[in-house]
Amino acid sequence: MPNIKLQSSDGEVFEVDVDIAKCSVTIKTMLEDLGMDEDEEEVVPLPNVNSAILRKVIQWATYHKDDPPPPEDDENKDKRTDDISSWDADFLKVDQGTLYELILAANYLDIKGLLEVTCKTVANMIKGKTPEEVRKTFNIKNDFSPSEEEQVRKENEWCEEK
Amino acid sequence: MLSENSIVRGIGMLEPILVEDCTYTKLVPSLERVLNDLNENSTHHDYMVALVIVLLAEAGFYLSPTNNNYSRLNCICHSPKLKSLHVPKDWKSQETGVYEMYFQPETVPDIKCKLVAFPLGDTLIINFFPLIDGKITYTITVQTLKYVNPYSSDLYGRYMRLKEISYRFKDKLSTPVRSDILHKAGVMGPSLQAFPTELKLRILRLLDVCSLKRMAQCCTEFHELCSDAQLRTHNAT
Repeated sequence: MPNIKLQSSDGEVFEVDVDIAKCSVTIKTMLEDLGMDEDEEEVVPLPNVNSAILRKVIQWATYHKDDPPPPEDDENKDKRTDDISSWDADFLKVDQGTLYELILAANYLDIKGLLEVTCKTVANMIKGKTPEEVRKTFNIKNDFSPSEEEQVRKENEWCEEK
Repeated sequence: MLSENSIVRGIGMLEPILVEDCTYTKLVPSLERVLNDLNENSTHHDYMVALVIVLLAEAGFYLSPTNNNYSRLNCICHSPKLKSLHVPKDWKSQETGVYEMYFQPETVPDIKCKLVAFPLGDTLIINFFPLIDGKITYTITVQTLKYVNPYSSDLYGRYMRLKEISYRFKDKLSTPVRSDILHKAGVMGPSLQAFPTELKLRILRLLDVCSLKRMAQCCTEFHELCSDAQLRTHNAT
């Protein structure tokens, strides 16, 4: 299997199987547009991804290389977030900053499966928390005036079982 | 496609890149580099603060040229790298033992941040905050000897539980400070609020109605986004 070289923003080069690299639609398009997959000496620069994150992305893609292609985005599809595989859950036991960087990398590299599972992980961090707990978890500043806050609380009241 | 001055070398999948990847036989190069600046008189707290310099760099905060002995020229010519970290000479007050250093985030270099670490016996109180209006100071208290063994004969044994302290430090200090800075500067980046709108909506659409309603009460921005997300998924729940 031919390999290609991917270069992270901090200059590290990773040699990766072309088929694994192509789970990123961004890289796949780049290779097709540039006709680069014939020349093994070429290096694909990824200026938006640092080495620590790029390596994690490659680990994820290597494990998932034989997965069937993910279905197209469907607005009405099932909103389950409890269907994260144990390998993925373990893979995503990282600090919060790394999780956010993985989301941005998956978005930039256009890797649907990774984007989905990382977003589900964040959704699970939101679920079951009170507004104050959510603010604390994600460092969100409360910018409502006292009267606005009261109004917003009222309009969303009926769901407060906590 | 490759600029000449960039470092071209293959990196193995097992080679440590971050502090959390360190093993009993292999320290991450950035930490090894910083440890060169310590000597036999260095205390356990010195080792902890040296580790903090590396963790901050991993999170995208580099020593700012305001630290006196940092060569200004050096800083302007080369973008900061994990490999060129060092311990500033004036990092610690000789009288009080308090560590003080300035850092700047890679993405928003005009906002400075300050690190202040107070030793109290074997405990180290680490404060980190951005120098902006309405700043919040983030603090953790570390039992230094839980993570540092300055007496270990080999370099690899000087630190313990690196993954634990790395996650703790990043989750409690560097990630919140980064999020505050991105928010203040209005720059996109790795923080829920600093995500592009399309990503925020993608996450909100995964929430059930009750979670969405609680999310809407967090701040004005999510209040608006949640009503968007709710409209689009109204039929699905």
